[in-house]
Amino acid sequence: MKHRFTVTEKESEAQFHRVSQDLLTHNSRQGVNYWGGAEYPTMLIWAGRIYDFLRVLEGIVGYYPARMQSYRVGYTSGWNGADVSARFPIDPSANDGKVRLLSSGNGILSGAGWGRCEIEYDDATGAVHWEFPEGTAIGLAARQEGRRDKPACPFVAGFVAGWTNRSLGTKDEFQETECVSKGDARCVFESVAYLRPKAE
Amino acid sequence: MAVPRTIRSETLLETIIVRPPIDLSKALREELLGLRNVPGWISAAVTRRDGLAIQHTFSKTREANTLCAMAAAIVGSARSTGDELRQGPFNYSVVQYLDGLLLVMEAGPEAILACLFARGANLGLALLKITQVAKRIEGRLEEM
Repeated sequence: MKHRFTVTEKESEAQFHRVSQDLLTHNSRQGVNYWGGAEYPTMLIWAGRIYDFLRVLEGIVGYYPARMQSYRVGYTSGWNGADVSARFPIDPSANDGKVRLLSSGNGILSGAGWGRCEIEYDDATGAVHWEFPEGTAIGLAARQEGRRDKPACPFVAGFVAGWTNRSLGTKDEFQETECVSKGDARCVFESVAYLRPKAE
Repeated sequence: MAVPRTIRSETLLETIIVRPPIDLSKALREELLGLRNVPGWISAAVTRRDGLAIQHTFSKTREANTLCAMAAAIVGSARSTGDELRQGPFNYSVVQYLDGLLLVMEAGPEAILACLFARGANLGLALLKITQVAKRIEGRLEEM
């Protein structure tokens, strides 16, 4: 059976108020924000600066090692985000099942300003597909700096992998198959059995 | 509301690392164990181009995972340096420590071989053997 979870523009607006306002608390003594009752300090950062982690690192160690390090950081973010979201008492349905937790991922992402996306999950094959029809915020930031040959969003690939694996109890990898920074119309992330990256 | 404890990224590494197909893993283990006969050989690992371990002979997986990430970075930075200095393609890297010798070599377009030897190991012999093993690994990967 295929599950498809979408976020309309109206829902994205509502998620923005929930995720970026209602769930955010400010510690005025520290001048630091906290999100969803979790102990992780949270802050606003330009999407282009997340892209810079990849851009700077790939200039030194090359694309694939840089991609993996960026992916790993995104992975932790996605895992932690799903972990915190699974504990929301205001959203008990998220604890009802793995698929429900997976489905809440796109609302969080659009509400946090990462990009509006659709998630498709085929429970027969285990394939998971995250599609950002307008691109991710990081992809859009990268596009402003010129067209790339390789995807700009391994951080987001890691995020969706972490969120998906935390939700479904899987160990899937994700690959960026389309990216707005490469000239594609959208950003797409797909689960893969085992990646075999090759040097040119 | 239950407050989750901070999740450390190193504990999550286990969930990031996907297992390679069994046949691939098995074939590469045979190749790595073939290095046992080289005097001074300690351990070896084959990693994906991005630094994710494919197979290793280290007793601690954590050690192998760290080495694999670093081996990919060594090859990547050496290639970048070679490009920058217009010195041609990367061949191999030798890192000599007080107590050991680390050799890192590409094993075809999709893998990297990293071998740790004792400090007193014969560098020439070690290089000869790992070059042979790297070529065999490349061949095995091409078949799959």
